[in-house]
Amino acid sequence: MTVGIIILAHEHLHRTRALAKAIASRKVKVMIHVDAGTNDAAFDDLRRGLEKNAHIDFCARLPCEWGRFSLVRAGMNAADALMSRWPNVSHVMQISGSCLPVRPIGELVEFLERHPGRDFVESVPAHEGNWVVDGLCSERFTLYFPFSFKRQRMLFDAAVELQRRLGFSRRIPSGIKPHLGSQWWCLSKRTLKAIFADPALPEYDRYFSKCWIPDEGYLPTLAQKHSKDMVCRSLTLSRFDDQGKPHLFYDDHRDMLEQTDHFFARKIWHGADKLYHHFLGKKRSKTDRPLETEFGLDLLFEEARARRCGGRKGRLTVGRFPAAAHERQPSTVGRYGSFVGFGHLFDGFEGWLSKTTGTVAHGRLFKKNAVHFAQEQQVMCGGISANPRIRDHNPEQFLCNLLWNIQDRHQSLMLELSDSTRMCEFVINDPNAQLFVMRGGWILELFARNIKDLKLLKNQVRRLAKAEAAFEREVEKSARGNLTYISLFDIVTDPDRVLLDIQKTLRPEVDLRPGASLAFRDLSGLRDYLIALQSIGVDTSVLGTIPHVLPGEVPLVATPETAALG
Amino acid sequence: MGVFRSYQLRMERRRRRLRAFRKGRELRPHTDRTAKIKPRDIILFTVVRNEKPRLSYFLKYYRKLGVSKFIFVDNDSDDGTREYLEAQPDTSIWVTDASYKRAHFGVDWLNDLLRRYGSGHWVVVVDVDEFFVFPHSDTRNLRALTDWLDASSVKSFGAMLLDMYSQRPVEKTPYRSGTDPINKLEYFDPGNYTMKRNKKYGNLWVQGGPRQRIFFEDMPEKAPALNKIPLVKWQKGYVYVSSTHNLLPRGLNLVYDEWGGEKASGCLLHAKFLDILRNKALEELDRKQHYAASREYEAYSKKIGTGTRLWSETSVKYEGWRQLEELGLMSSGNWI
Repeated sequence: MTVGIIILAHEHLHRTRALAKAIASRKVKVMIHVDAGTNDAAFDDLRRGLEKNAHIDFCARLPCEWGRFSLVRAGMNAADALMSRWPNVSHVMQISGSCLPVRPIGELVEFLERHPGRDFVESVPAHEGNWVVDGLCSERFTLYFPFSFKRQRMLFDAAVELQRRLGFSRRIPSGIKPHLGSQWWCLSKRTLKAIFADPALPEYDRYFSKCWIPDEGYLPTLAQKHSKDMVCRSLTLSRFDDQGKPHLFYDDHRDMLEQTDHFFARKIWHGADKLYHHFLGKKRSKTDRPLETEFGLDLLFEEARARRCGGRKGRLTVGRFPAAAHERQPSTVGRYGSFVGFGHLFDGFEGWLSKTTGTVAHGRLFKKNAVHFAQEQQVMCGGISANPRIRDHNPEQFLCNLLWNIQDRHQSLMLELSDSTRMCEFVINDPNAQLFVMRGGWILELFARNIKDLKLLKNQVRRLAKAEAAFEREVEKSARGNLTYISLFDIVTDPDRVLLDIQKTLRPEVDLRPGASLAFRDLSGLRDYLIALQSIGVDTSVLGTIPHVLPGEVPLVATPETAALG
Repeated sequence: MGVFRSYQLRMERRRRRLRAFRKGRELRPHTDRTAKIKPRDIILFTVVRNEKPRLSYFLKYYRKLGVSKFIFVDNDSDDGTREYLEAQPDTSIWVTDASYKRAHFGVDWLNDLLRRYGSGHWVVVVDVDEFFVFPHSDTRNLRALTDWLDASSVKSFGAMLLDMYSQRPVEKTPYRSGTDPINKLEYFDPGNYTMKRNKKYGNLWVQGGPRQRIFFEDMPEKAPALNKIPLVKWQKGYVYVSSTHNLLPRGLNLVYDEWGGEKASGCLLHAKFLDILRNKALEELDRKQHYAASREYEAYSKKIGTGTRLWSETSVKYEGWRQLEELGLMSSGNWI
């Protein structure tokens, strides 16, 4: 007993020649079909080179077109010719001219000898619908496809659309259930004979000849009907990318192809000299690896799909620029803290934050005319300059870049309402931003600036109050979850509790490092300042209930507690 | 895009073609080996002026990558560039002493030669200080890439210009002819690039890197564009618009994915910041033949020669295309 292999070839015939020779050198029978559309001189060359080989023969050339029945016809003719020329083959396998044997041919023969009468064909019910990548699935079997996809694309699309609208559905001949699978099958002679002997075959042929890409349905379907012992898997490694086009293999894939549990792989790029040399060379040693799933290649296919379809969030490149409809704003790569209105309450808040939670705590990144990176660095990771003009050239992407460049660490930034309305909006709308907002933080800013000119003060108050209102409207609109409001006087009254809450919310995943203490700025005089602000109509109630003693104040008046003690 | 816009762009393309035709007559064939071009050749087009020291490695690099024919426009060199090029077996040379600036900084000349010799070929259009790196370029040649692009029905391939520099001041970074300049210029800025979409032509407009950080810190919006489309399956009727930053018809500029995914893209390693730049900057400033009133060369001449280093603590040392992909400066898309 021996094995027969059909090669369907249409270009780069010098590769087909080497492939056929290598297979025949193990006394495996080879039947070659060359597309009638292929250049005759190239075919004659191939034929002259191989005709003396007793294990190789050619069958009649049919014109083939991708997606049409002609490809099925070519394969079936070749199978028929092969079985009549060499009646003692046990199995027939169909491969293409751009395949390579990634295991020695001898191992294939031994493997098939161990499994007499068993069919290896991928065959998945069409209605399950996950086999096809980027294309029609069960509709391949229920619509008519009278037009060529490649040459008559407009008519092809129109015909599909029309049939869909009319709710068209073809009758599927009795006795078969549409299945899909790779056209690189390996069937036992028994099963093939049974298919050829099926009296309904002409009807099936008529039916499939109007189906779409019938070569991926014909044998998977008919083998279901006739096979007595079937393993649903192809012995040829062949994968499609997300656009439905087969992945190509190159010289640098050699090691991974060595690992696969298939016997053949396609498609091999015709220029991959080293692959051809390696896998067709005489010195292939026997492999002793078991037939297991290959990890390397599967990972590679999966990564390619994820990269091409999903992309890396948080990064724009010359190959990735999501349209506004897809990403409303440039997206950031991961979580980061944004502290709004904290700038004027503590001395060294950033240092404390960084010490206790391990975050890279930047200062006010978006302050007008200055960029305060962590530790006041002048050039930050990635080459980001602390130059406010460069930052303002594209502040959103400035932030995205900063987050992308330091991905292995959590980052935080300080923001004041007066810094940048644009960036306030950005962080509000960014689900990755963990927002901590101190209501009325801007009042502290005014307090720190100590503006004497009443008119200027009124202007500033109006501007900042408006900015705060806009901020809150934007928050409401965004319907975001992770936002913590903190009131100024809560934190003054019980700083330890509030700060612990901040730490826990910001970095729930880390063990907090205690020890560092945080000093309030001097707020003596704030009491009077608030009264002055109230007199010009500022609502200071957002700050909470004013405590009896403010940081920096000396408790001159006896409070109820001290009175009780006294 | 509306019918009117599309008509306008069509007219603009025609204008540019006519202009290329007119400006093409400024070119005189000097060494014409174009009869030897075979149908599947990948052809490189470029304009040079006094670039002799760079040529030998440039040719070596691109020959190894799989470029089989070179077409040069020599804009009035007097340093032996022309003599060196004509001694090469795979080059064709056109010469002109006409104004570089008035030929749209060489684009008109290139458009004319591209139409005449590039149609039907994959063409590489780069400057002599730009070295193309694409996914798998360490193990696969350009032919592998163009075959894959053909199979995917893709007609143009995008790249980002990556300014390379050394740890030393520019004027103290000597270049020895014939050597790989990237051995001297090992560093780059990995993550300070910003991009916008050009509404009219649909291309991305990328800025950033050390040039923006140092030479254009006061006017970052004027920093040079870093987006390039150096590899195109050329057809009659195509034109480059502004350098190799964009083309018409505008579909060719869509080298990026708009749905969140990544299309395969590469980088052009820019080996500009070598000691030879100093003299060049002074000369070019004198000739006033460069883009936007030679603003760039003005900035160089101010800062180069005064010990200015492009290098910073955050610079990263170049290791290869996989590193660039990891950093998010290019992508292999779904090309495994």
